[in-house]
Amino acid sequence: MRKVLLGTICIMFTISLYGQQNALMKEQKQMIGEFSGHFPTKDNTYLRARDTPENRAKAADYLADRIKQIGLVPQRNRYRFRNLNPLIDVLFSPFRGENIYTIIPATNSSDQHIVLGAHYDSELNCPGAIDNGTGSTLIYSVGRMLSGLDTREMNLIIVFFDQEEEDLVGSQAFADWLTDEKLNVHSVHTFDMVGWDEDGNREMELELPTTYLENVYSEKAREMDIPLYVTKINSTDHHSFRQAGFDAIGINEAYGKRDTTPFKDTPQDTYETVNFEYLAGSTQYVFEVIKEIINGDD
Amino acid sequence: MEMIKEKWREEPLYLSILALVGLAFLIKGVDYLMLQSLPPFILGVLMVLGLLYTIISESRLSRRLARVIAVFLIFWGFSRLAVELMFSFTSVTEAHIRSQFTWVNRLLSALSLFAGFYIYRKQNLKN
Repeated sequence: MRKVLLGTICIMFTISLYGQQNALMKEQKQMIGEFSGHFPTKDNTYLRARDTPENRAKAADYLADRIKQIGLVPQRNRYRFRNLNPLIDVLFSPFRGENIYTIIPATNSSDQHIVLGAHYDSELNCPGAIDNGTGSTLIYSVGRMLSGLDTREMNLIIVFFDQEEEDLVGSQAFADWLTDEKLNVHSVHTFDMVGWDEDGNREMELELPTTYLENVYSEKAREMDIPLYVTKINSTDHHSFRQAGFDAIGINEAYGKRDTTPFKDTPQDTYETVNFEYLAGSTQYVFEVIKEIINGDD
Repeated sequence: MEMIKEKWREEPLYLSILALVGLAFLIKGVDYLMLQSLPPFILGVLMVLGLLYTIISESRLSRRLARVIAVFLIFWGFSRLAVELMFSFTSVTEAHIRSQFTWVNRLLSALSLFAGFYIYRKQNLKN
């Protein structure tokens, strides 16, 4: 009798996990499909690229709407930012853009914040399904899952950066905003391309983690049997936060080992090339890591 | 002040152009100062001081200064148009710069070229 009961529980647990994974993949397929112009959005427009100011504004509206759909409040961090070269300042206007973010409050009175970020813009005329529809979708799903927890001992900020493809301007503006607001930031985790795994080994790359963050990610990766390696690559958004004095880490597919999309910054970076199973598995992994940090950190 | 009023009576178009040029660069400079970029602000202040000097002084230095400002304005307008032309022949993907190739910005570049040539010609006629 005990064996039957145990077996039933095991089967139900497996079915439940499978169901969760399926639901997650369905959500992520829908979002990346809409975000890269594979499917129309609910107002029947196709986001074929997130490049020009007009197209980026449409993408920002889409994200704000998505945030509302899961019962959170979207906020807009509009910014203007100097050009990187003063000569360009003399000739042209400053950058303009908007980061879209939401705050998921702690269930206690903590003033600590964890920031999960991913850029939503794409290169000119590129659908950007993997770069960075996957990173945006990952943090969206992780945010939804974390908002459903009964306890959160830290506040979470989910932020979609504008203009990463233009010298990380959006994330620099957001780092300035965090500093101006004097928020107590525990750590910043940014995601850029999590949709390619040609060798099928589920491997992920950690970029410039602090010792603490490397330990947390490594421990959870061991538990979930996910191969990890560390690089010193700093060419994406986490660099902006490290420059501003925050603890930061970048997480993505195995870019440094070349197990990465060959279609980056091309019109072929489409929905069909995304490995959704890898994305869903990575999302689950990141969710477990962040849950560990916010609820298991002293 | 009296001298400026007198100049205004003599050459209202010339003075209007100088004032507009000074104001435009000063506004741009203050705008960038708020974004913590100093060079456009320094340029704006130098431009205003230089233009004021060319208005209140009749010296050779003042005429030379006006010519320098004129050449700068021509260079400024020409560079912006040249960058746009260059972008139209290459596959550079800087969306931020590309987004500035609007009719309003083209008009500003053309006005700068016009102002530069006008100031230069005016100074040559004075010699």
